[in-house]
Amino acid sequence: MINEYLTLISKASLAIWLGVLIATITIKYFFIRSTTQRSALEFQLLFLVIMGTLRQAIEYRVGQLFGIDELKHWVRVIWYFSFALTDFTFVIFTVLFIRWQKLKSTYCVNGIFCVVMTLGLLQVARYVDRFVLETDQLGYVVSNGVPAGNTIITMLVVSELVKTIIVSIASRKESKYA
Amino acid sequence: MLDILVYGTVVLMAVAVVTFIWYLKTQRNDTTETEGTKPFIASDALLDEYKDIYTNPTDDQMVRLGKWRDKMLQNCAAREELRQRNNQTNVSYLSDHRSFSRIREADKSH
Repeated sequence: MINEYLTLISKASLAIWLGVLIATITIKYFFIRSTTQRSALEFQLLFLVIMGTLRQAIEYRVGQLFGIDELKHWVRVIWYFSFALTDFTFVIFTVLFIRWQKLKSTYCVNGIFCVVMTLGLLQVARYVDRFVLETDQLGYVVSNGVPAGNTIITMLVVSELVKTIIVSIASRKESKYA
Repeated sequence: MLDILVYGTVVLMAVAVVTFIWYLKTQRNDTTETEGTKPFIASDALLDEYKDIYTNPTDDQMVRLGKWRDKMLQNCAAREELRQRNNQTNVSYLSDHRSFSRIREADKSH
């Protein structure tokens, strides 16, 4: 039951991230009166949406190749490593961008990094478990871990959006009495 | 081709882990040095910006200086707010003042 919900949220996560990104940018730049230091969250969300779209494209293309015997090994390697590759690239690129632009980090930003790193490591671990060690023990962990990871990211960004809305309302009240 | 992908990912994984640890370790020394109710730019970053305005003069130097002044005033207001909040929580102004990394370094050298 929970797995079904997790998978559903995971499937909708890309759209939710995009919606939160647009909403956060709109609220921060049009409704919050006080000048605040630029937050890393918007940029991280933007890169996250780009990464998510890229992953959907890879999933779609590689999914079409399932069932072709000549490409069996090729498809398996691409399947696990392309996801890991996008996760690690996202972490490196976003961290360097945040440091370069001196953006403000939050618990939400750090949480997203932790989840994405875990998902990347999980993909590599699953490949090693299945094809190098041939123990095949991580199947359940990966099949549930990926939707759970996406759901955690979704919860984090939605909570940050709620926080932004509260700050926006508070800022409007402040300016009203100023 | 596949080997490149596999080894490339492993190398990237190592780089990502190192980058991530570096990010978490250096976080306290950057722009999050103060957590006031109104977020503001770190004093070190402001100082660097001020130096940059004078060392790399441009046509809009005075405009940049005006913007820098606004930021500085905003910082002062936020710091005052933080100071008042710290007074309520028994954190002395001196400890807060010394939370600036450059002041800490200067203290050490004396």
